[in-house]
Amino acid sequence: MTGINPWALGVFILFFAATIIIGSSIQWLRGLFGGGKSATVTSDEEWSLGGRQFGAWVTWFLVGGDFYTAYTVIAVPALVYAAGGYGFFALPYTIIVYPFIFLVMPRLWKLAHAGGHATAADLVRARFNSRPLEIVVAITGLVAVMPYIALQLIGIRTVIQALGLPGDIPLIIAFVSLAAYTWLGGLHAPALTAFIKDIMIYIAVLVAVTVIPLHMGGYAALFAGADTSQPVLHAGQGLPYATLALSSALAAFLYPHTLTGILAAKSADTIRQNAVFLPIYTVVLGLIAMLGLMAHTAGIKTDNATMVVPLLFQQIFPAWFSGFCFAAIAVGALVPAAVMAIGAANLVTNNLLPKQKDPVRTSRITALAVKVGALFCVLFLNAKFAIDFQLLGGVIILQTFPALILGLLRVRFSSVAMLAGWAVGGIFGLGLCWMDGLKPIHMVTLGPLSGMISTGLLSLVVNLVVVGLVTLVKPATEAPNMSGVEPQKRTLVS
Amino acid sequence: MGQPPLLCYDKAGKNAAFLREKTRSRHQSPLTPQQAIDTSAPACMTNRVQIKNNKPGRFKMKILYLLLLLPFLGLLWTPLYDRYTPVLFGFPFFYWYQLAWVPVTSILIWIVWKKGHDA
Repeated sequence: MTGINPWALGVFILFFAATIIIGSSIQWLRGLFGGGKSATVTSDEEWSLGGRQFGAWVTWFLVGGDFYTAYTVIAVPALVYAAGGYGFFALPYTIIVYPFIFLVMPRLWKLAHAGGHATAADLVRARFNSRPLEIVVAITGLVAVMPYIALQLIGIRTVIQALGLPGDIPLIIAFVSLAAYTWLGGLHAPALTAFIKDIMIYIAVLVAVTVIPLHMGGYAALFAGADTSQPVLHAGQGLPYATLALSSALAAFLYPHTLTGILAAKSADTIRQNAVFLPIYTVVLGLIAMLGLMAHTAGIKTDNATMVVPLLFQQIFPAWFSGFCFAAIAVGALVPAAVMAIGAANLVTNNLLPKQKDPVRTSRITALAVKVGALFCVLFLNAKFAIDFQLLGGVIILQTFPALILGLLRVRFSSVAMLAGWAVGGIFGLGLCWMDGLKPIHMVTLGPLSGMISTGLLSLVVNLVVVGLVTLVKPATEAPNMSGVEPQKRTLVS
Repeated sequence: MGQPPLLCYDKAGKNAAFLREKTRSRHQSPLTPQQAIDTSAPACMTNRVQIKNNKPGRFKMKILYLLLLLPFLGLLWTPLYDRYTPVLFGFPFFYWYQLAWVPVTSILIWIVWKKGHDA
């Protein structure tokens, strides 16, 4: 990069700052236009779940905004650039996740609505009436979401670095803007700015996927060098491709931030409707992934794969438009990072700390602490393959799958079975990752058959086997509580 | 993976509804609105859903849910699409086939959603 281009920087600052200011003043704006109703953040549900009042449109933007993150725009093309068609697994992943959402999430929403729950750990506590299991689910969510927020900070840092700002200044800018934004706006801030983010991302991506191929002679040119008689995936990549897609899809909506977006919906039908229309984002994701192939054709050479997209934009676009695209990516990181911090803060205030007098204040402070944690992740961990972080988080978050999703079944699972499955699956999965050098896939040999399988999926299978065995040996003594309402509360009501 | 839990769940839910039905007939008492709501049932089984459960459309619903398995089958079996030809608009088969599953999945979910309303 040769110095700072004033046009690129100017456009970037204009859009980035405008979004942060709008997001931060959302509560004040709502007070102004909403006839004075809820002008201040008074209740925790208002700050953390937007009052559970988001309709189909807002939910579409919010869930889309925090599911398709800077990870999408930076890391997916980076992986496609580094590994070719293999990096495309994000596409089947973000397709098969929707039938899953359609089937499971309306049920979780109804339970959460009936019991007034805001987090996965809340739901698990109500189902199993077990404080240890609640704590375990809460801590797992917290640990898994931390590198995810780090990923977003890396995304913001990448584009600010690409603008030519040196050293740690980019990271500090990213951190301060994120903190201010979440503190003031609560969930309403990302819900509104998700709208701005999406419009910016759509403009940037649609221009990129039409203009860049024009420079190179159409999409056919992207694949001109390939040997078309061979499969697209290299030998042995098929199995990890499919298993990574499956395990990512199962993990995707166990995260605190994605679940927050779902639980903030107005009704179960809002969620079903969104399962129909959210895949539109996946089309954009597929086109974004193509940017990795375009970078090769455009002759981009870099060791740092996360810089692929910024470098490509700078090479093809005029300075002012690459500034706009970078702002789109930075805002695209800000929205999910804010929802993640809020989701994590909900876990701490609802499930880990004793009941608070001022939950909003506690949530705000916790959200800030979570972001500081993420900042440390960025500073001290290897940020080279940002996507691997997310995949490791996926291994541990998958261990909460049985408690949260199998808990929807009318089976006498005991909390002991769930705890045992979580512990064995988690240790097994992290052990494999550690042995494989922090890789998300593991070589499995079964007689003559062998192949690489997603570590997350393997550890989930181990987890499920343990849960099944313990349940067979010692089923829960009481009938499962399927009402979503906690036993103590229920007796009080009746 | 998302599919079996649902079927089991439905089956269990149906059994529960069936049991309540049985108990009710034994006591020979008509169903009052309070009983219909039945607080011991899961929140997702409101009385509206239970009435739906007793309709013959239940079986059709289960068949419909199988539609949601198709994206899993079509996308997770990679040998099905792991090749370059036929090319469409310059995109190798591998890429356009997967992209094509996006609208197909949307439509499948939409069908199940709408039919679920009617059933």
